[in-house]
Amino acid sequence: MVDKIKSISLKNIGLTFHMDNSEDFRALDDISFDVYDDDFICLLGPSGCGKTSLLNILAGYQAPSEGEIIVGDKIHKKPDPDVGVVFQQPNLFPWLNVRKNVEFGLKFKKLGIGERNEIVDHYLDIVGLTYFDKMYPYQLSGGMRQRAAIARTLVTDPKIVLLDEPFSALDALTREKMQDYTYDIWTKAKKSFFFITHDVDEALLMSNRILVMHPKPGRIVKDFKNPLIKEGYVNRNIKKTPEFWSLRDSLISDIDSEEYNL
Amino acid sequence: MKKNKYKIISAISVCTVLLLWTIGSIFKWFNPVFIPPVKDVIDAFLEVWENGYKGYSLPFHIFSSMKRLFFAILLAFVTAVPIGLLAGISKVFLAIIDPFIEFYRALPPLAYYILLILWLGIEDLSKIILLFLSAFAPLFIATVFAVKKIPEARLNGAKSLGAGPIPLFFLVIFPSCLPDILTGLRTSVGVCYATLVAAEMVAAVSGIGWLVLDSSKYLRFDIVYFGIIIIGILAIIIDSFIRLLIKKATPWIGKE
Repeated sequence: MVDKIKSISLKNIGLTFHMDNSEDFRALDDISFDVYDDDFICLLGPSGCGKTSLLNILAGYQAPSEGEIIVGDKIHKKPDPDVGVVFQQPNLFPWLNVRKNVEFGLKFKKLGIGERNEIVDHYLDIVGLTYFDKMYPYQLSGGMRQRAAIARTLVTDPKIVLLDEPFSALDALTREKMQDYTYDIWTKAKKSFFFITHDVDEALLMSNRILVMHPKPGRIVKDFKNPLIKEGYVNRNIKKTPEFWSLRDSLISDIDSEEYNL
Repeated sequence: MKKNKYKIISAISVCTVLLLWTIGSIFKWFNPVFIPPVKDVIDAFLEVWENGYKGYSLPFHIFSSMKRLFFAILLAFVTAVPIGLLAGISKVFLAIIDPFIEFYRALPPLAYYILLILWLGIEDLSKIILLFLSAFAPLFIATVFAVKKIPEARLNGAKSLGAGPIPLFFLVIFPSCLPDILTGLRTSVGVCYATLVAAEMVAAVSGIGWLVLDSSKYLRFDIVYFGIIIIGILAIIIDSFIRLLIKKATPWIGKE
C-alpha cells in the first residue's frame, strides 16, 4: 500500500471573538485533524456551528486565535493558491469570459502561453465546459457557472480545495447533476476536497470521510470513513439500502444530539 | 419590436409639439417676443450658420464649448477615479480628503468661479477648472461607493488564486467598479454640461452658452431659441454616446 500524503494539517485551532458589550464568544475550540490527498471530506454541522469560520481560517481569510494550519511544510496564514476556495455563489469575474476566468490564477505563475492554454483546456474539459469557453458568466446557467468556478480554482494546482456549500443556490435537479460532476472532477483532479454542507444525504453520497461539528464552541465530534462509497461515481442506488438509512439516522442524531438553542 | 414602438411614440410626440409651434406661429397665437415664429428661428440659424456670430462660425462656438467640456471631463476622470478607488480602499485616506469634497460639493459653482478667475485668469483654464470641479465630486463619490460594494468573496477569491495587492487593484477592484464609475461619469457629464453655460457667462467670447447669453442682451430671441435647441440636442447626443459606452464596456450589467 502506498503511503497517503498529507495535504493539510490543522493543529489545535481555536477562535474567540472579542465582543465589545458582551462576553467573548468562543467560535471554535481545539480543532485538530489531517487531510490526505485522497480525501473527499464532508464537514457536516448545523448552521451556526462555526463551519464557515473554520473555512475562513483554512483559506487564510481569518487568523485563528490559537493553533496553526500547516500546508506542505509551511504554516498557512494568508490566502494563497495552495488552498483553493469555491464559494457559495460562483463569484466569477463578470467582465471575463469563461476561459479568461479559468486562466486568472495562472497569470501569477511564470508560464508560457502554450502551457497556460494547455492547463486551461485540461480543466475546461474536466468540468465539461470546453465548448463554452468564449461565453460570459451571465450567459451561463447556475450549474455551469459553479463548474467554471471549480475549474478556476483547480488550475493553480491547489493541495486542497475548500467548497463552501457550493450547491446551496441551485435547484434540486441541477444540484444532483453537480454532485455527479463534482465527484467526477474529484476523481480526475486527484486533489483533496473539503466540502462544507448541512445536507446529510449529500455527504453520504459523495464523501469518503465525514466530519461532524457541534456548536458552542464549534468542535469536531466525529471523524469517520464513509463505508457506503465504493464505486468511482455517485451511486444513488445506495439510497435504497438499509445501511444508508441507518447511517443517515445515526448522523442526524449525532448532529442533533446535543441540546443547543439556535 | 416593442422597443421600436415606444421610439415611434416619442417621435410622434416631438413632431406634435413642433407642429403646434409652427401652426401657432403662422396663425400668430403667440407674442413673437416670447415665442418667436419657427421661420425666424430657422432664419436666425441660417444667418449665424453663414456669417458666424461675433466673428466666429457656429461650429467654432460649439467646438469651444465641447473642448472645455471634454478637457474638464477628462481631467475629472483621470483624477476622481484613482483618488476614489484609493479612498474606497483606505478609510484613512477617505477621512483625509472627504471633508474638503463634502464642503465644496455643496457650493454653487458660480460662488467660487470668481476666485478661480482671480487665480487662473479669464482664459479657458478657469472655465475648464470650474467644469472639472463640478464633474469631480459625483464621479469621486460614485467610485468610492463602487469600491465598498465589491463582494468580499470576490476579493478573497482573487487572493486565493494568487493575486497580490497590485494585480488585485488593477485586475479585480478597477473592473469591479467600472459599471458604477461609468454611471458616475454620466452624472458628471450632466452636471458639467449644466455648469457650462454659467462658465461662459463671464468673460467669454466664444461657446454655445455664451452665444445664447450674448444674443439675449440684444433681445435676439430667435438666436436664443436655436442656441437652446442646439444645447439640448448636443446633450442628448453626448448622453447617448455615454450610454453606448456603458453598454459596450459592461455588457453583463442587468443580466446577472
